[in-house]
Amino acid sequence: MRLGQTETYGTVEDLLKEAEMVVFWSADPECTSGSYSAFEGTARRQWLRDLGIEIVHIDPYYNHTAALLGGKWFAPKPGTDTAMALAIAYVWITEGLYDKRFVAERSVGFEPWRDYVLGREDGVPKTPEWQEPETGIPAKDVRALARQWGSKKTYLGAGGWGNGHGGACRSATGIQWARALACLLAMQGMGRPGVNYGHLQWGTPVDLHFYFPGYADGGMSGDLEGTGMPISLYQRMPQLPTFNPSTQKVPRLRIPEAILEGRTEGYPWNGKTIEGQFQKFSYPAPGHSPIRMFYKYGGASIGTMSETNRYVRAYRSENLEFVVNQSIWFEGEAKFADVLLPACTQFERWDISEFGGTGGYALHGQTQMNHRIVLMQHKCIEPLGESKSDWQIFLELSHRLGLGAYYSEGMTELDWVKRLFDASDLPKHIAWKDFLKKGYFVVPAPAEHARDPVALRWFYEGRKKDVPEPHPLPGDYGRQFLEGLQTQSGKFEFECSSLKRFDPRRSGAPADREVSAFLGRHADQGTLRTLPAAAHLAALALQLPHALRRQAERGERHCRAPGVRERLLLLGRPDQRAGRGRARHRGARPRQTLQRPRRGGLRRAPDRAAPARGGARLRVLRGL
Amino acid sequence: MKKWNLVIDVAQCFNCNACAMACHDEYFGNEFPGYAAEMPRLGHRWIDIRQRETGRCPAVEVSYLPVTCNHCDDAPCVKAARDGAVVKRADGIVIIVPEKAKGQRRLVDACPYGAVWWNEEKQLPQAWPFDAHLLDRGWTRTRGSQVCPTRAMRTLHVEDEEMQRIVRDERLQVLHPEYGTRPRVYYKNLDRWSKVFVAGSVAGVLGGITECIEAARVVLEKDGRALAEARTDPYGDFKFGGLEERSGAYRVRIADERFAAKTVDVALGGSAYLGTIMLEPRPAPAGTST
Repeated sequence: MRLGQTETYGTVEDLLKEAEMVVFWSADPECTSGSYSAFEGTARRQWLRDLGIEIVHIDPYYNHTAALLGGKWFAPKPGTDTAMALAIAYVWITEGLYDKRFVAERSVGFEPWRDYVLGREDGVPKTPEWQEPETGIPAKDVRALARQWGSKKTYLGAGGWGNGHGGACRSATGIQWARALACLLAMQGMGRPGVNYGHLQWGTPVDLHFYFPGYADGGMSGDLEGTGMPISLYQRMPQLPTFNPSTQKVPRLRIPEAILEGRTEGYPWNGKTIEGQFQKFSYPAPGHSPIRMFYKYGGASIGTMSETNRYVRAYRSENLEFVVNQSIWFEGEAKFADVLLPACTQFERWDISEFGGTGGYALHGQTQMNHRIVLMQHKCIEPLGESKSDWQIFLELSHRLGLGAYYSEGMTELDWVKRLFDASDLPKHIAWKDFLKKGYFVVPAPAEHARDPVALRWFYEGRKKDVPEPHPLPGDYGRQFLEGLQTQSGKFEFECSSLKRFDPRRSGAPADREVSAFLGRHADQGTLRTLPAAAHLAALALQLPHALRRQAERGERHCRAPGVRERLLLLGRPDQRAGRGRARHRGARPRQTLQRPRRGGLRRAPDRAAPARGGARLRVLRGL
Repeated sequence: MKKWNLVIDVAQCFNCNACAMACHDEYFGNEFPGYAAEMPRLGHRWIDIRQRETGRCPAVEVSYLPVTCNHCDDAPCVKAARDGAVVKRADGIVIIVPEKAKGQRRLVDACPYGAVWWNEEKQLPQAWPFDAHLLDRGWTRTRGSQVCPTRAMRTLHVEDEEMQRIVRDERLQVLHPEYGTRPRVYYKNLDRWSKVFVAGSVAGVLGGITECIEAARVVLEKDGRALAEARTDPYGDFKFGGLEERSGAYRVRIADERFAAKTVDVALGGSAYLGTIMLEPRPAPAGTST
């Protein structure tokens, strides 16, 4: 699935041919490069200037994209973008600058949204003047922008992908922003030629019918629950399935609370259905042990999450008895571990991958590329120092757990690479030995007539869904398979039916629930004023809120696939260790719980969290 | 004969640093006898991307200037070198010969562009050698040129006459022509780096509401003479670029038939954003009682 962002197919061509204006809203693709796609989009965005397409940037910062492309810059105060969006809607409603046919035929709930924007509900019209003290943007400028946008065919590039990913989503008020922007695009008739989501980062006309699995499609993990494997890869590459039997899971953002306070709750991402986002998790799960051990694998939380001193406190807590960190770098977070497992870089192991291939996590990320490129990642050198490949580390752990053969299926890393090669469409075009020698394969572009249809055009025109993606799942269509959006009504919902069912009373539910407003200009108040009492009116458009929740409360699962680093393994085993470690006093050395292997890869590190634990020093196990 | 030239488009550089990284990748950990000794891991920027911000919110420009060895045809470093430590090749490339330049710190001081770096450990002056070891093996572009995602850095292998034609056609400039060093590294849109602008936003009250005034006529004057004319855009914005820094007094005249004419005076230091300029209603015609 695509984490809730909208379709992006064909939008590069549609934008360049049809659009007259692009609004980059909280979007800096020249800096963020979409997802793993380097400067592929940069070349395309040069054409905006060549074609004279008007450019608007809305961002508190004069970002790199604005610096390169130029255009009109609006700098709202951080976290206040929603107010600006509402004022744009106000101008469109009062001046008739919206697609009335689309709103009448393809949406529901417009009247309450309109009444809220006009202030009929709460007596506060959301005028450009109303937003001025909030955002700092002069009312006249917002009016001018609204008129430009409402009278020109305009693409909305929201966030770093352009379709709702990142950017202002990642703030305390981000969900409201995403909803408001979805409403704006619906008012302009999303899917109309020249009117869609994007800023040329996604949506190139590459051949998506050539199969090569993405980085979260499961690889060799056998994980049918936590990866995209069931969609296609398992059928092409049957393997021993694996399941995590523990039902106790904690999203990454809530791990510190789980450890420090012993309880937490929230609403983790669930991409299967639109209602999945309302499923609550709570920790501890019934009958489970509290978390005593933490196996940290992949990207640092301290560098990427919010209020990250929480993680420092959690690592130092007596509640957490044992920490493993498996990483290629000796980053700050690694220093909190009892045991460091130094992993080698991709230059020191075999792998196979596709540039920009984010499948399983975000389908068809290859449309960020100008050409699809599958890469043979040769092992250039032996792992340096005591480091080992992630695969090897997990294999050795599996051996000690008596699961080695199940893990490896008797194959080497290079064997698995070959197996994935065979499962893909590569053998139809290139022999294994040629691929090994050449090191890459460029997937031929499709003929012009065979390009995929433009995103959401089917919806705009009232046809069956015709873009090449498997979601929503058949059972999640409100009426007939392939008819309508994933919403309960199948239409665009300015007023969201599932939200109303979830909690009709609660103002703001679920968007501003438990938002600790540490960001934004109302942080001192701890509440959000941008959308007062608006939430039961705020729209749920497409699957955008999924994305936001995903980002807000990301729970990631263990995946063994080579090349997948950003995974986290949480071990909360049945309470067989209850009571152990409680007597340990400050500064005591944690027990050594892993035996040193014969060849010396798994080695105990000295005390974690040096400063709080009496200044114990750490050794760098990785011999770089 | 054909000679090597580098053309850098300032308007297309956005500080991605791919060229600087490629340079680092080429020379850190590698040495090319006769061309370059190994570059230190830290401290040297043989391709040095400098940044300038000008203006103020919302009228801001950020520009980047990659500065490297200019491979001057009249290079001060060649004159300052002893024992033939700096060579001007027939194809235009200037090489600090690592085997001969040891200890010659004067080369660092001789370069007016700051493009020669001192390697403390090796006691060696170093500069970007135009990837000559690659070009001599048949490469047609430098590594920085090859990786530039916006094609802001072009390698040209042409006769000098052809190069001068390109310079005229594309209005290329060199850094500090007054130094008389005759660089082989040219810049396109250098005004973006070296010049400043005057900008403003025009507004007025229409029907009781403050609005951006589109299509107002704006004239920039200096010493009573009109320099340029523009129309405001839908946001009421205007901008006059290409002005010299600290070039003194300018007058901006704004005219829109719905409003009284307005003039704003500005003394230009760096770029100036004049803010929102409110137009006043036209004065009532003489003789009309109100």
